[in-house]
Amino acid sequence: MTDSRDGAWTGPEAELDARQRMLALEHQLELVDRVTSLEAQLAQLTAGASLTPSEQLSAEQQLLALRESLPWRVGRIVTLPVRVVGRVFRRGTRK
Amino acid sequence: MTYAPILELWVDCAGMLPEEVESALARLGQQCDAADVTFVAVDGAAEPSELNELLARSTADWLVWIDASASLAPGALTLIQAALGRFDVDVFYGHSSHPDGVIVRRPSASPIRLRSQDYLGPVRGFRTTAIREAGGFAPDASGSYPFELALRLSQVGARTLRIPEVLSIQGEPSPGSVAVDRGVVSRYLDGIGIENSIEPGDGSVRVRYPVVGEPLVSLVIPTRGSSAVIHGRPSVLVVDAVRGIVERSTYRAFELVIVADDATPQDVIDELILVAGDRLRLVRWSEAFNFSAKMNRGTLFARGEYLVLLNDDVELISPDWIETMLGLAQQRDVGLVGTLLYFEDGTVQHGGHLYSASWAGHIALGWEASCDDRIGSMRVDREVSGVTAACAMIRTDTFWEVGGFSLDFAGNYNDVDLSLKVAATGRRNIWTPHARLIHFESKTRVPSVLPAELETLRARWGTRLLSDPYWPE
Repeated sequence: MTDSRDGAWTGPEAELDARQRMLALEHQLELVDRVTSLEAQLAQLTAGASLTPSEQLSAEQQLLALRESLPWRVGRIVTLPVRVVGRVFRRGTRK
Repeated sequence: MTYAPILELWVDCAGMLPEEVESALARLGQQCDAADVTFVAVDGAAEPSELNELLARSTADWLVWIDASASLAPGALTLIQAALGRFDVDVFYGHSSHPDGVIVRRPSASPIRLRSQDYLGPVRGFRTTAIREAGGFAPDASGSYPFELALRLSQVGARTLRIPEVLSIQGEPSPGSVAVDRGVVSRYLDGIGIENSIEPGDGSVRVRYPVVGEPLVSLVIPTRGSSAVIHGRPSVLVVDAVRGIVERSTYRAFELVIVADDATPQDVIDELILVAGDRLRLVRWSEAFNFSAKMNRGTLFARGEYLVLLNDDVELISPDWIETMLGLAQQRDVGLVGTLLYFEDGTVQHGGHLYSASWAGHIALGWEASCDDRIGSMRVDREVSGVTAACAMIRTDTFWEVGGFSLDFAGNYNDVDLSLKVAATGRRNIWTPHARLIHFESKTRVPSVLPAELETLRARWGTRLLSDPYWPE
Protein backbone atom coordinates (compact mmCIF):
# COMPACT_ATOMS: atom_id res chain seq x y z
CA MET A 1 0.00 0.00 0.00
CA THR A 2 1.30 3.49 -0.84
CA ASP A 3 0.93 6.59 1.27
CA SER A 4 -0.86 9.60 -0.17
CA ARG A 5 1.39 12.57 -0.89
CA ASP A 6 0.79 16.15 0.04
CA GLY A 7 1.33 17.54 -3.51
CA ALA A 8 -0.37 16.56 -6.77
CA TRP A 9 1.26 13.84 -8.87
CA THR A 10 3.26 14.63 -11.98
CA GLY A 11 3.42 12.61 -15.18
CA PRO A 12 2.32 12.61 -18.82
CA GLU A 13 -1.41 13.30 -18.71
CA ALA A 14 -3.83 11.98 -21.29
CA GLU A 15 -5.79 14.74 -23.02
CA LEU A 16 -8.81 14.79 -25.25
CA ASP A 17 -8.01 16.21 -28.64
CA ALA A 18 -10.00 19.14 -29.97
CA ARG A 19 -12.30 16.94 -32.03
CA GLN A 20 -13.11 14.70 -29.08
CA ARG A 21 -13.90 17.75 -26.95
CA MET A 22 -16.12 19.15 -29.67
CA LEU A 23 -18.02 15.90 -30.03
CA ALA A 24 -18.43 15.64 -26.26
CA LEU A 25 -19.94 19.11 -26.13
CA GLU A 26 -22.26 18.34 -29.03
CA HIS A 27 -23.29 15.17 -27.27
CA GLN A 28 -24.01 17.20 -24.15
CA LEU A 29 -26.27 19.55 -26.12
CA GLU A 30 -28.03 16.58 -27.67
CA LEU A 31 -28.66 14.95 -24.29
CA VAL A 32 -30.06 18.13 -22.78
CA ASP A 33 -32.32 18.51 -25.82
CA ARG A 34 -33.47 14.91 -25.43
CA VAL A 35 -34.40 15.45 -21.78
CA THR A 36 -36.11 18.75 -22.60
CA SER A 37 -38.14 17.16 -25.37
CA LEU A 38 -39.18 14.26 -23.13
CA GLU A 39 -40.25 16.73 -20.46
CA ALA A 40 -42.24 18.61 -23.09
CA GLN A 41 -43.97 15.43 -24.24
CA LEU A 42 -44.74 14.50 -20.66
CA ALA A 43 -46.16 17.97 -20.06
CA GLN A 44 -48.59 17.36 -22.94
CA LEU A 45 -50.32 14.73 -20.81
CA THR A 46 -51.12 17.22 -18.08
CA ALA A 47 -51.46 20.29 -20.28
CA GLY A 48 -55.11 20.75 -19.36
CA ALA A 49 -54.27 21.09 -15.69
CA SER A 50 -51.53 23.65 -16.22
CA LEU A 51 -53.44 26.17 -18.31
CA THR A 52 -53.46 29.77 -17.14
CA PRO A 53 -56.92 31.31 -16.64
CA SER A 54 -56.56 33.19 -19.95
CA GLU A 55 -55.61 29.98 -21.75
CA GLN A 56 -58.47 28.11 -20.13
CA LEU A 57 -61.02 30.68 -21.28
CA SER A 58 -59.53 30.66 -24.79
CA ALA A 59 -59.69 26.87 -24.94
CA GLU A 60 -63.31 26.88 -23.80
CA GLN A 61 -64.16 29.51 -26.38
CA GLN A 62 -62.54 27.45 -29.14
CA LEU A 63 -64.38 24.35 -28.03
CA LEU A 64 -67.64 26.26 -28.11
CA ALA A 65 -66.85 27.60 -31.58
CA LEU A 66 -66.06 24.08 -32.74
CA ARG A 67 -69.36 22.75 -31.41
CA GLU A 68 -71.25 25.54 -33.13
CA SER A 69 -69.49 25.00 -36.45
CA LEU A 70 -71.33 23.56 -39.43
CA PRO A 71 -68.98 20.55 -39.90
CA TRP A 72 -69.48 19.57 -36.25
CA ARG A 73 -73.27 19.85 -36.46
CA VAL A 74 -73.41 17.99 -39.76
CA GLY A 75 -71.15 15.31 -38.25
CA ARG A 76 -73.46 14.95 -35.26
CA ILE A 77 -76.44 14.46 -37.56
CA VAL A 78 -74.60 11.97 -39.77
CA THR A 79 -73.40 9.93 -36.80
CA LEU A 80 -76.76 10.11 -34.98
CA PRO A 81 -77.99 6.62 -36.04
CA VAL A 82 -74.69 5.04 -35.00
CA ARG A 83 -74.77 6.78 -31.64
CA VAL A 84 -78.42 5.73 -31.04
CA VAL A 85 -77.64 2.11 -31.92
CA GLY A 86 -74.57 2.22 -29.69
CA ARG A 87 -76.56 3.56 -26.77
CA VAL A 88 -79.31 0.95 -27.20
CA PHE A 89 -76.71 -1.79 -27.47
CA ARG A 90 -74.92 -0.64 -24.30
CA ARG A 91 -78.21 -0.44 -22.43
CA GLY A 92 -79.06 -3.97 -23.62
CA THR A 93 -75.77 -5.48 -22.51
CA ARG A 94 -76.04 -3.80 -19.09
CA LYS A 95 -79.32 -5.60 -18.31
CA MET B 1 -73.81 28.62 -7.03
CA THR B 2 -71.07 30.67 -8.63
CA TYR B 3 -69.59 33.60 -6.74
CA ALA B 4 -70.30 36.90 -8.50
CA PRO B 5 -67.94 39.66 -7.38
CA ILE B 6 -69.21 43.18 -6.73
CA LEU B 7 -68.13 45.54 -9.49
CA GLU B 8 -67.77 49.29 -9.32
CA LEU B 9 -67.54 50.80 -12.76
CA TRP B 10 -65.48 53.96 -12.80
CA VAL B 11 -66.59 55.86 -15.85
CA ASP B 12 -63.76 58.14 -16.94
CA CYS B 13 -65.49 61.40 -17.77
CA ALA B 14 -62.42 63.63 -17.96
CA GLY B 15 -63.12 66.87 -19.77
CA MET B 16 -66.85 66.26 -20.08
CA LEU B 17 -69.64 68.70 -19.25
CA PRO B 18 -72.01 67.73 -16.39
CA GLU B 19 -74.86 66.92 -18.78
CA GLU B 20 -72.52 64.74 -20.86
CA VAL B 21 -71.49 62.91 -17.71
CA GLU B 22 -75.11 62.27 -16.81
CA SER B 23 -75.91 61.03 -20.27
CA ALA B 24 -72.88 58.70 -20.29
CA LEU B 25 -73.87 57.25 -16.92
CA ALA B 26 -77.46 56.80 -18.06
CA ARG B 27 -76.36 55.11 -21.29
CA LEU B 28 -74.01 52.71 -19.52
CA GLY B 29 -76.63 52.08 -16.83
CA GLN B 30 -79.05 50.94 -19.53
CA GLN B 31 -76.42 48.55 -20.86
CA CYS B 32 -75.91 47.02 -17.43
CA ASP B 33 -76.93 43.38 -17.49
CA ALA B 34 -75.74 42.19 -14.09
CA ALA B 35 -76.47 42.58 -10.39
CA ASP B 36 -74.04 43.99 -7.84
CA VAL B 37 -72.79 46.68 -10.19
CA THR B 38 -72.55 50.39 -9.45
CA PHE B 39 -71.48 53.22 -11.71
CA VAL B 40 -69.32 56.11 -10.52
CA ALA B 41 -68.28 59.04 -12.67
CA VAL B 42 -64.61 59.82 -12.16
CA ASP B 43 -62.32 62.42 -13.64
CA GLY B 44 -59.34 60.55 -15.09
CA ALA B 45 -57.39 63.79 -15.06
CA ALA B 46 -58.07 64.45 -11.36
CA GLU B 47 -55.49 64.51 -8.59
CA PRO B 48 -54.65 61.02 -7.30
CA SER B 49 -55.80 61.97 -3.78
CA GLU B 50 -59.33 62.36 -5.12
CA LEU B 51 -59.28 58.88 -6.65
CA ASN B 52 -57.64 57.37 -3.61
CA GLU B 53 -60.43 58.78 -1.44
CA LEU B 54 -62.98 57.14 -3.72
CA LEU B 55 -61.00 53.92 -3.55
CA ALA B 56 -60.92 54.04 0.26
CA ARG B 57 -64.69 54.38 0.35
CA SER B 58 -65.33 51.61 -2.15
CA THR B 59 -66.74 48.33 -0.88
CA ALA B 60 -66.53 46.67 -4.29
CA ASP B 61 -64.35 43.65 -5.03
CA TRP B 62 -63.30 45.13 -8.36
CA LEU B 63 -62.88 48.56 -9.89
CA VAL B 64 -63.62 48.47 -13.58
CA TRP B 65 -62.26 51.49 -15.40
CA ILE B 66 -64.23 52.32 -18.52
CA ASP B 67 -63.78 55.18 -20.95
CA ALA B 68 -66.97 57.23 -21.11
CA SER B 69 -66.90 57.22 -24.91
CA ALA B 70 -67.15 53.41 -24.96
CA SER B 71 -70.25 51.28 -24.60
CA LEU B 72 -70.60 47.96 -22.89
CA ALA B 73 -71.09 45.02 -25.20
CA PRO B 74 -74.29 43.03 -24.62
CA GLY B 75 -73.76 40.62 -21.75
CA ALA B 76 -70.32 42.03 -20.94
CA LEU B 77 -70.82 42.52 -17.22
CA THR B 78 -72.30 39.05 -16.75
CA LEU B 79 -69.33 37.62 -18.62
CA ILE B 80 -66.91 39.62 -16.51
CA GLN B 81 -68.54 38.57 -13.25
CA ALA B 82 -68.59 34.92 -14.31
CA ALA B 83 -64.91 34.99 -15.27
CA LEU B 84 -63.81 36.83 -12.12
CA GLY B 85 -65.87 34.46 -10.00
CA ARG B 86 -63.98 31.49 -11.43
CA PHE B 87 -60.38 32.65 -11.38
CA ASP B 88 -58.18 34.14 -8.71
CA VAL B 89 -56.74 37.09 -10.64
CA ASP B 90 -55.87 40.75 -9.99
CA VAL B 91 -56.29 42.42 -13.37
CA PHE B 92 -58.54 41.75 -16.35
CA TYR B 93 -59.25 43.17 -19.76
CA GLY B 94 -60.81 41.91 -22.98
CA HIS B 95 -61.40 42.49 -26.65
CA SER B 96 -63.33 45.46 -27.96
CA SER B 97 -65.05 46.23 -31.21
CA HIS B 98 -65.42 49.25 -33.41
CA PRO B 99 -68.83 50.66 -34.22
CA ASP B 100 -68.50 49.06 -37.67
CA GLY B 101 -68.24 45.65 -36.00
CA VAL B 102 -64.52 45.09 -36.54
CA ILE B 103 -63.14 43.32 -33.49
CA VAL B 104 -59.92 44.53 -31.87
CA ARG B 105 -58.37 41.41 -30.38
CA ARG B 106 -55.93 41.87 -27.58
CA PRO B 107 -52.92 39.77 -26.64
CA SER B 108 -52.42 37.85 -23.42
CA ALA B 109 -50.52 39.61 -20.64
CA SER B 110 -47.37 41.06 -22.21
CA PRO B 111 -45.28 43.05 -19.71
CA ILE B 112 -42.63 44.18 -22.20
CA ARG B 113 -45.27 45.29 -24.68
CA LEU B 114 -47.13 47.16 -21.95
CA ARG B 115 -44.09 49.42 -21.53
CA SER B 116 -44.65 50.66 -25.08
CA GLN B 117 -48.36 50.34 -25.60
CA ASP B 118 -51.55 50.48 -23.56
CA TYR B 119 -53.20 47.48 -25.22
CA LEU B 120 -55.72 46.85 -22.44
CA GLY B 121 -58.61 48.57 -24.20
CA PRO B 122 -61.50 50.72 -22.95
CA VAL B 123 -62.60 48.25 -20.24
CA ARG B 124 -60.02 47.03 -17.74
CA GLY B 125 -60.48 46.04 -14.15
CA PHE B 126 -58.41 45.80 -11.02
CA ARG B 127 -59.07 43.94 -7.81
CA THR B 128 -59.51 46.63 -5.15
CA THR B 129 -57.24 44.82 -2.70
CA ALA B 130 -54.51 44.67 -5.35
CA ILE B 131 -54.77 48.42 -5.95
CA ARG B 132 -54.58 49.11 -2.22
CA GLU B 133 -51.61 46.78 -1.77
CA ALA B 134 -49.86 48.54 -4.64
CA GLY B 135 -50.31 51.88 -2.86
CA GLY B 136 -53.36 53.19 -4.72
CA PHE B 137 -53.30 55.63 -7.60
CA ALA B 138 -49.92 57.23 -8.19
CA PRO B 139 -48.98 60.87 -8.50
CA ASP B 140 -47.97 62.14 -11.96
CA ALA B 141 -50.25 59.63 -13.68
CA SER B 142 -53.12 62.00 -14.35
CA GLY B 143 -54.87 60.92 -17.54
CA SER B 144 -53.14 57.52 -17.47
CA TYR B 145 -54.18 56.04 -14.12
CA PRO B 146 -55.27 52.58 -15.32
CA PHE B 147 -52.23 52.25 -17.57
CA GLU B 148 -49.83 53.27 -14.81
CA LEU B 149 -51.54 50.90 -12.40
CA ALA B 150 -51.34 48.03 -14.88
CA LEU B 151 -47.61 48.68 -15.33
CA ARG B 152 -46.99 48.68 -11.60
CA LEU B 153 -49.05 45.55 -11.04
CA SER B 154 -47.29 43.72 -13.88
CA GLN B 155 -44.01 44.32 -12.09
CA VAL B 156 -45.20 42.66 -8.89
CA GLY B 157 -46.44 39.62 -10.79
CA ALA B 158 -50.15 40.42 -10.67
CA ARG B 159 -52.24 37.62 -12.12
CA THR B 160 -53.81 38.91 -15.29
CA LEU B 161 -56.81 37.56 -17.13
CA ARG B 162 -57.58 38.33 -20.73
CA ILE B 163 -61.23 37.59 -21.35
CA PRO B 164 -61.38 36.43 -24.97
CA GLU B 165 -64.70 38.11 -25.64
CA VAL B 166 -65.78 41.53 -26.82
CA LEU B 167 -66.44 43.52 -23.65
CA SER B 168 -66.92 46.96 -25.14
CA ILE B 169 -67.62 48.92 -28.24
CA GLN B 170 -65.27 51.81 -28.79
CA GLY B 171 -66.89 55.21 -29.20
CA GLU B 172 -65.28 55.93 -32.53
CA PRO B 173 -63.02 54.05 -34.92
CA SER B 174 -60.03 55.14 -32.88
CA PRO B 175 -56.78 53.20 -32.64
CA GLY B 176 -57.06 49.99 -30.66
CA SER B 177 -54.63 51.24 -28.07
CA VAL B 178 -54.76 54.28 -25.84
CA ALA B 179 -52.04 56.91 -26.38
CA VAL B 180 -49.20 56.28 -23.97
CA ASP B 181 -47.82 58.95 -21.66
CA ARG B 182 -44.02 58.89 -22.05
CA GLY B 183 -43.50 60.29 -18.58
CA VAL B 184 -45.50 57.48 -16.97
CA VAL B 185 -43.38 54.82 -18.69
CA SER B 186 -40.13 56.58 -17.92
CA ARG B 187 -40.96 57.06 -14.24
CA TYR B 188 -42.10 53.45 -13.97
CA LEU B 189 -38.86 52.12 -15.49
CA ASP B 190 -36.76 54.49 -13.36
CA GLY B 191 -38.64 53.22 -10.33
CA ILE B 192 -37.67 49.62 -11.00
CA GLY B 193 -34.07 50.52 -11.81
CA ILE B 194 -34.16 50.07 -15.57
CA GLU B 195 -32.19 52.65 -17.51
CA ASN B 196 -34.18 53.87 -20.43
CA SER B 197 -34.81 56.58 -22.93
CA ILE B 198 -38.27 56.97 -24.34
CA GLU B 199 -39.06 58.10 -27.86
CA PRO B 200 -42.55 59.10 -28.90
CA GLY B 201 -44.41 57.06 -31.48
CA ASP B 202 -47.86 57.02 -32.99
CA GLY B 203 -49.89 56.41 -29.82
CA SER B 204 -47.19 54.10 -28.51
CA VAL B 205 -43.63 54.80 -27.40
CA ARG B 206 -40.29 53.24 -28.14
CA VAL B 207 -38.34 52.25 -25.06
CA ARG B 208 -34.61 52.15 -25.67
CA TYR B 209 -32.77 49.96 -23.20
CA PRO B 210 -29.13 50.97 -22.98
CA VAL B 211 -26.80 47.98 -23.09
CA VAL B 212 -25.39 47.10 -19.68
CA GLY B 213 -21.62 46.72 -20.04
CA GLU B 214 -20.20 45.73 -23.40
CA PRO B 215 -20.72 41.97 -23.64
CA LEU B 216 -19.23 40.11 -26.56
CA VAL B 217 -21.86 39.00 -29.06
CA SER B 218 -21.17 36.02 -31.32
CA LEU B 219 -22.93 36.06 -34.65
CA VAL B 220 -23.26 32.43 -35.76
CA ILE B 221 -23.80 32.15 -39.49
CA PRO B 222 -24.11 28.90 -41.43
CA THR B 223 -23.16 29.09 -45.11
CA ARG B 224 -22.38 27.22 -48.28
CA GLY B 225 -21.03 30.32 -49.96
CA SER B 226 -24.03 30.59 -52.29
CA SER B 227 -24.50 33.38 -54.80
CA ALA B 228 -27.66 35.09 -56.00
CA VAL B 229 -28.79 38.18 -57.83
CA ILE B 230 -29.56 40.84 -55.22
CA HIS B 231 -30.77 44.33 -56.05
CA GLY B 232 -30.19 43.37 -59.68
CA ARG B 233 -26.51 42.46 -59.34
CA PRO B 234 -24.68 39.22 -58.53
CA SER B 235 -23.87 38.77 -54.87
CA VAL B 236 -22.03 36.22 -52.77
CA LEU B 237 -24.59 36.28 -49.99
CA VAL B 238 -22.43 35.55 -46.96
CA VAL B 239 -19.69 37.95 -48.03
CA ASP B 240 -22.09 40.82 -48.60
CA ALA B 241 -23.93 40.06 -45.36
CA VAL B 242 -20.68 40.06 -43.37
CA ARG B 243 -19.39 43.18 -45.14
CA GLY B 244 -22.59 45.04 -44.26
CA ILE B 245 -22.45 43.91 -40.64
CA VAL B 246 -18.78 44.78 -40.18
CA GLU B 247 -19.02 48.15 -41.89
CA ARG B 248 -22.37 49.36 -40.59
CA SER B 249 -23.06 47.86 -37.16
CA THR B 250 -22.73 50.51 -34.49
CA TYR B 251 -22.18 47.94 -31.71
CA ARG B 252 -18.57 46.85 -32.05
CA ALA B 253 -18.07 44.08 -29.50
CA PHE B 254 -18.93 41.18 -31.77
CA GLU B 255 -17.29 38.23 -33.47
CA LEU B 256 -18.39 36.27 -36.49
CA VAL B 257 -18.56 32.50 -36.27
CA ILE B 258 -19.01 31.27 -39.82
CA VAL B 259 -19.85 27.60 -40.19
CA ALA B 260 -18.93 26.83 -43.78
CA ASP B 261 -19.65 23.66 -45.72
CA ASP B 262 -16.67 21.88 -47.24
CA ALA B 263 -18.08 22.84 -50.61
CA THR B 264 -17.80 26.57 -49.92
CA PRO B 265 -15.68 28.07 -52.74
CA GLN B 266 -12.17 29.00 -51.65
CA ASP B 267 -12.48 32.55 -52.97
CA VAL B 268 -15.50 33.04 -50.67
CA ILE B 269 -13.43 31.93 -47.68
CA ASP B 270 -10.57 34.23 -48.77
CA GLU B 271 -12.97 37.13 -49.10
CA LEU B 272 -14.48 36.46 -45.66
CA ILE B 273 -11.03 36.48 -44.08
CA LEU B 274 -10.34 39.80 -45.76
CA VAL B 275 -13.67 41.42 -44.87
CA ALA B 276 -14.08 40.14 -41.30
CA GLY B 277 -10.42 40.25 -40.20
CA ASP B 278 -9.81 39.43 -36.53
CA ARG B 279 -13.50 39.04 -35.82
CA LEU B 280 -13.72 35.87 -37.86
CA ARG B 281 -13.84 32.34 -36.49
CA LEU B 282 -14.14 29.85 -39.32
CA VAL B 283 -15.68 26.49 -38.55
CA ARG B 284 -15.68 23.65 -41.06
CA TRP B 285 -18.82 21.57 -41.72
CA SER B 286 -18.11 18.28 -43.50
CA GLU B 287 -21.19 16.33 -42.59
CA ALA B 288 -24.59 15.84 -44.23
CA PHE B 289 -27.02 18.76 -44.18
CA ASN B 290 -28.60 19.42 -40.81
CA PHE B 291 -29.19 23.07 -40.03
CA SER B 292 -29.56 22.40 -36.32
CA ALA B 293 -26.33 20.41 -36.03
CA LYS B 294 -24.50 23.02 -38.06
CA MET B 295 -25.67 25.86 -35.83
CA ASN B 296 -24.90 23.89 -32.68
CA ARG B 297 -21.39 23.28 -34.02
CA GLY B 298 -20.98 27.03 -34.52
CA THR B 299 -22.06 27.86 -30.99
CA LEU B 300 -19.31 25.60 -29.59
CA PHE B 301 -16.78 28.01 -31.04
CA ALA B 302 -18.61 31.14 -29.92
CA ARG B 303 -16.91 33.06 -27.11
CA GLY B 304 -19.67 35.61 -26.66
CA GLU B 305 -22.01 36.00 -23.72
CA TYR B 306 -24.80 36.36 -26.28
CA LEU B 307 -25.42 34.58 -29.56
CA VAL B 308 -27.05 35.96 -32.67
CA LEU B 309 -28.37 33.12 -34.79
CA LEU B 310 -28.20 34.52 -38.28
CA ASN B 311 -28.78 33.40 -41.86
CA ASP B 312 -26.19 34.26 -44.49
CA ASP B 313 -28.69 35.94 -46.84
CA VAL B 314 -29.45 39.09 -44.88
CA GLU B 315 -28.72 42.79 -45.19
CA LEU B 316 -28.84 45.33 -42.39
CA ILE B 317 -31.34 48.14 -42.40
CA SER B 318 -30.82 49.27 -38.80
CA PRO B 319 -27.16 49.85 -37.94
CA ASP B 320 -28.07 49.69 -34.22
CA TRP B 321 -29.63 46.23 -34.60
CA ILE B 322 -27.28 44.50 -32.15
CA GLU B 323 -27.72 46.96 -29.28
CA THR B 324 -31.48 47.06 -29.88
CA MET B 325 -31.68 43.28 -29.48
CA LEU B 326 -29.13 43.22 -26.68
CA GLY B 327 -30.96 45.85 -24.62
CA LEU B 328 -34.05 43.66 -24.75
CA ALA B 329 -32.16 40.40 -24.21
CA GLN B 330 -30.72 41.86 -20.99
CA GLN B 331 -34.18 42.44 -19.53
CA ARG B 332 -35.38 40.10 -16.81
CA ASP B 333 -36.84 36.78 -18.00
CA VAL B 334 -36.28 37.47 -21.68
CA GLY B 335 -35.23 34.47 -23.79
CA LEU B 336 -35.07 34.94 -27.53
CA VAL B 337 -35.23 38.32 -29.24
CA GLY B 338 -36.32 38.38 -32.88
CA THR B 339 -36.34 41.12 -35.48
CA LEU B 340 -38.44 42.65 -38.21
CA LEU B 341 -37.40 41.02 -41.48
CA TYR B 342 -38.39 42.18 -44.93
CA PHE B 343 -38.34 40.44 -48.27
CA GLU B 344 -36.27 42.09 -50.97
CA ASP B 345 -39.42 43.74 -52.38
CA GLY B 346 -40.01 45.53 -49.06
CA THR B 347 -42.91 43.43 -47.80
CA VAL B 348 -42.75 41.84 -44.36
CA GLN B 349 -41.20 38.41 -44.00
CA HIS B 350 -41.24 38.09 -40.22
CA GLY B 351 -43.23 39.85 -37.53
CA GLY B 352 -42.73 37.07 -35.01
CA HIS B 353 -43.95 33.49 -35.00
CA LEU B 354 -47.59 32.54 -34.87
CA TYR B 355 -48.64 29.11 -33.60
CA SER B 356 -52.21 28.27 -34.37
CA ALA B 357 -54.37 25.33 -35.48
CA SER B 358 -51.42 22.94 -35.01
CA TRP B 359 -49.34 24.95 -37.42
CA ALA B 360 -46.46 27.41 -37.18
CA GLY B 361 -46.17 30.46 -39.40
CA HIS B 362 -45.02 34.06 -39.48
CA ILE B 363 -47.00 37.05 -38.28
CA ALA B 364 -47.58 39.70 -40.95
CA LEU B 365 -46.12 37.55 -43.72
CA GLY B 366 -46.33 39.44 -47.02
CA TRP B 367 -47.79 42.61 -45.50
CA GLU B 368 -46.82 45.94 -47.01
CA ALA B 369 -44.28 47.68 -44.79
CA SER B 370 -46.83 50.37 -43.89
CA CYS B 371 -49.51 47.84 -42.87
CA ASP B 372 -50.47 47.25 -39.28
CA ASP B 373 -53.28 45.63 -37.35
CA ARG B 374 -55.99 47.51 -35.45
CA ILE B 375 -53.96 47.70 -32.28
CA GLY B 376 -50.64 48.78 -33.78
CA SER B 377 -48.70 45.57 -33.15
CA MET B 378 -46.10 46.20 -35.83
CA ARG B 379 -44.63 49.26 -34.15
CA VAL B 380 -43.93 47.98 -30.64
CA ASP B 381 -41.64 45.51 -28.89
CA ARG B 382 -43.90 42.67 -27.92
CA GLU B 383 -44.10 39.17 -26.51
CA VAL B 384 -44.46 36.46 -29.14
CA SER B 385 -44.69 32.69 -28.99
CA GLY B 386 -41.49 32.38 -30.97
CA VAL B 387 -39.15 34.00 -33.46
CA THR B 388 -37.34 32.91 -36.57
CA ALA B 389 -33.72 31.81 -36.27
CA ALA B 390 -32.97 33.72 -39.47
CA CYS B 391 -32.04 36.47 -37.02
CA ALA B 392 -32.44 35.99 -33.28
CA MET B 393 -30.47 36.77 -30.16
CA ILE B 394 -30.22 34.56 -27.10
CA ARG B 395 -27.94 34.38 -24.07
CA THR B 396 -25.34 31.68 -24.62
CA ASP B 397 -26.09 30.03 -21.28
CA THR B 398 -29.81 29.91 -22.09
CA PHE B 399 -29.00 28.23 -25.41
CA TRP B 400 -27.00 25.61 -23.55
CA GLU B 401 -29.60 25.24 -20.82
CA VAL B 402 -32.23 24.15 -23.35
CA GLY B 403 -29.91 21.92 -25.37
CA GLY B 404 -29.51 24.20 -28.38
CA PHE B 405 -31.23 23.31 -31.61
CA SER B 406 -32.76 19.86 -31.70
CA LEU B 407 -31.21 17.51 -34.24
CA ASP B 408 -34.68 16.08 -34.86
CA PHE B 409 -35.39 19.16 -36.94
CA ALA B 410 -32.76 19.10 -39.66
CA GLY B 411 -34.43 21.58 -41.98
CA ASN B 412 -37.68 22.97 -40.57
CA TYR B 413 -39.23 24.01 -37.27
CA ASN B 414 -35.88 24.03 -35.45
CA ASP B 415 -36.56 27.64 -34.44
CA VAL B 416 -40.14 26.83 -33.40
CA ASP B 417 -38.83 24.06 -31.18
CA LEU B 418 -36.09 26.30 -29.76
CA SER B 419 -38.60 29.08 -29.07
CA LEU B 420 -40.93 26.71 -27.25
CA LYS B 421 -38.08 25.19 -25.26
CA VAL B 422 -37.04 28.67 -24.16
CA ALA B 423 -40.64 29.56 -23.29
CA ALA B 424 -40.92 26.35 -21.27
CA THR B 425 -38.15 27.65 -18.98
CA GLY B 426 -40.42 30.59 -18.05
CA ARG B 427 -38.61 33.10 -20.23
CA ARG B 428 -40.42 35.29 -22.71
CA ASN B 429 -39.66 35.56 -26.41
CA ILE B 430 -39.71 39.10 -27.71
CA TRP B 431 -40.00 40.54 -31.19
CA THR B 432 -38.83 44.05 -31.94
CA PRO B 433 -39.65 46.23 -34.96
CA HIS B 434 -36.66 48.44 -34.16
CA ALA B 435 -34.03 45.98 -35.42
CA ARG B 436 -34.72 45.60 -39.12
CA LEU B 437 -33.04 43.55 -41.80
CA ILE B 438 -33.75 42.34 -45.30
CA HIS B 439 -33.89 38.57 -45.62
CA PHE B 440 -33.31 37.50 -49.21
CA GLU B 441 -35.30 34.33 -48.82
CA SER B 442 -37.56 33.88 -51.79
CA LYS B 443 -41.10 34.98 -51.12
CA THR B 444 -42.38 32.09 -53.17
CA ARG B 445 -40.15 29.50 -51.52
CA VAL B 446 -42.17 26.46 -50.54
CA PRO B 447 -40.39 24.88 -47.60
CA SER B 448 -39.92 21.16 -48.07
CA VAL B 449 -41.42 20.13 -44.76
CA LEU B 450 -40.80 16.53 -43.85
CA PRO B 451 -43.91 14.95 -42.31
CA ALA B 452 -41.68 13.48 -39.59
CA GLU B 453 -40.59 16.97 -38.51
CA LEU B 454 -44.16 18.18 -38.21
CA GLU B 455 -45.14 15.02 -36.37
CA THR B 456 -42.28 15.42 -33.90
CA LEU B 457 -43.16 19.06 -33.37
CA ARG B 458 -46.78 18.20 -32.64
CA ALA B 459 -45.82 15.35 -30.33
CA ARG B 460 -43.65 17.70 -28.29
CA TRP B 461 -45.67 20.86 -28.33
CA GLY B 462 -49.18 19.93 -29.54
CA THR B 463 -51.12 22.03 -27.05
CA ARG B 464 -48.83 25.01 -27.54
CA LEU B 465 -49.63 25.03 -31.23
CA LEU B 466 -53.41 25.23 -30.91
CA SER B 467 -53.96 28.92 -30.40
CA ASP B 468 -51.52 31.77 -30.08
CA PRO B 469 -51.90 33.83 -26.88
CA TYR B 470 -50.04 36.80 -28.32
CA TRP B 471 -51.70 36.96 -31.73
CA PRO B 472 -55.38 36.17 -31.20
CA GLU B 473 -57.33 35.54 -34.39
